[in-house]
Amino acid sequence: MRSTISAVLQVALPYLAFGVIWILVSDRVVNQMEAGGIIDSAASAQTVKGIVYVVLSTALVATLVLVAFRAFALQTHRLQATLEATSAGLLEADLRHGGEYGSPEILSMLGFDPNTIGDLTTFLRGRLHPDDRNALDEALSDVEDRSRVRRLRVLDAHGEWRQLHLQGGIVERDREGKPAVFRAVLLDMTEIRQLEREVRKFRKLESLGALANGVAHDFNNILGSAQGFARLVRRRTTDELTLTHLDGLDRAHRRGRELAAQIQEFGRSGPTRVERVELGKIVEDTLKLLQGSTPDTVRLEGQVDDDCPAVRANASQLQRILMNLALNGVRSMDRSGGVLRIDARPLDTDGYQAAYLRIQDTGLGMDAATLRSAFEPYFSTRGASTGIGLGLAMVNGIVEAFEGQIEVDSRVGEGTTFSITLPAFSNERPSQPEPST
Amino acid sequence: MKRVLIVEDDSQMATMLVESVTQEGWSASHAENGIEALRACESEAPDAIVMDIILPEKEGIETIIEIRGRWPKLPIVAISGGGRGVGVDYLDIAAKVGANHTLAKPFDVDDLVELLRGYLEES
Repeated sequence: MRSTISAVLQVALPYLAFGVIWILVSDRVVNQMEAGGIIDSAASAQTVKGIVYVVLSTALVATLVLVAFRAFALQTHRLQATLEATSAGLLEADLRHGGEYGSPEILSMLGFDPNTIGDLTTFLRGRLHPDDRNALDEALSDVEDRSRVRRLRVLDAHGEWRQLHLQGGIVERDREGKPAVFRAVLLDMTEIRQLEREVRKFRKLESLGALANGVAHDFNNILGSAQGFARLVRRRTTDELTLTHLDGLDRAHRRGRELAAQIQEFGRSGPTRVERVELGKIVEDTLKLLQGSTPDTVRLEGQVDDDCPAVRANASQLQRILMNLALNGVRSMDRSGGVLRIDARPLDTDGYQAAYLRIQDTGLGMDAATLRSAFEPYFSTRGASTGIGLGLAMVNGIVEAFEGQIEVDSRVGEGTTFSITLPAFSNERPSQPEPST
Repeated sequence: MKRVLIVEDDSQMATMLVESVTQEGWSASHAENGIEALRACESEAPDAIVMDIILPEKEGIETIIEIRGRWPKLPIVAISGGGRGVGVDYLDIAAKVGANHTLAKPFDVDDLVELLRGYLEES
């Protein structure tokens, strides 16, 4: 209101001033013109006065309006540029008359075409997370705290929750002090929230990894000294029974050693760099490595489809989990022989690209109870002398860290198939709905 | 008599190593950290060193660098049970800064003794 008055005054005052000045000086100007012979009669003097007045005042008003308009356009442009640069949206509601305005950014940040949606507040309300409806209502009636940031989760065009921050409140009241105009800025914080979650996850994994490494380090010291002392005893004795007991001690050491190695492996599987990984090479390398430790009765097969996408993972970790799963398969066919097959093909779910990786064996298989516990840490089907049971837990952890999924299907006597789905490198980073705030 | 310096902060491990070295007919002394190790190098002039990497005062890596600077030919066998950090192989680093050989704990003491025998017979 105030800005409208000042804009009108900016034009009206100079116009009035010009009128007054012209009344005062017009006689003199016309007299000069008569004296100089430019005009010749009293009648045409009046006409000249009128014409000059109309021409000059029109030019003056036009200039003033133009200057005011350009200043206004510049201001609007700056505001628009700010909104676009920050991807911020502006939401305004007239609470007395029910009108509202929402800048197009609000709809574009949600993936909708701004031209297709009419009533914005109603539209937003419909896509708001049920738990956040109060937050919007509160903001619409909050007169006290305009600086408060409210978090709203809104379902976007792709069916995913986007995290919006709403900052604002009642900016104008009517004469009785009732809320009149609501104005707020909406910011899309989804990517920032996602990054925060990743940092938290990374820190958790990092501290877990450090803990595992610390435990393994101390364990290796204890095992090393025990083993060394056993060696010292062995060198001093010829007693048969003592030597038998020392053999028992050695077996215990080997188990301890394997456990420490697996804990260390677990520690190393902490945070790693995520990179573009081609599955063809990994599968080929894994099969080559396997050849050395595979009996002749087991046939190794591999097949990676040409159109299988590169995945978002880490090459050495992926290699480790493939080796782990493949070795399990080979072991289960130790006696019977069979086929170990690794294959990979593309998977497309509603435009979301992934690679589907399978490790199949035709070995012993697992029963339902074993299958249920397969991914639990410290669960092992192998005898206590060889199996430690961290392998599959580690595999699961690594696959999850790459935002993939692992499934196992097994039948006793027929074999086991592990299926791993890994997101393709070309995908946008998948954003997951936040459970609750 | 050939002298071997054992640098190890884990007392059980240290006792076992000192005992194992002594049984081979060499003399053994023990240092608990890098500072003691350097002092022992000066006062006892060992013929070979068995060096743990993770030590409470003055780390093994730092100590190896310093020993290499002052005694370029002194044989060093670095031993470690793995790092406490993530994704760092301390034995790799030890080899790069001048350890003659590395052994990951738990190692076979026979292997260590054979290594030491090689170095001590050379010297």
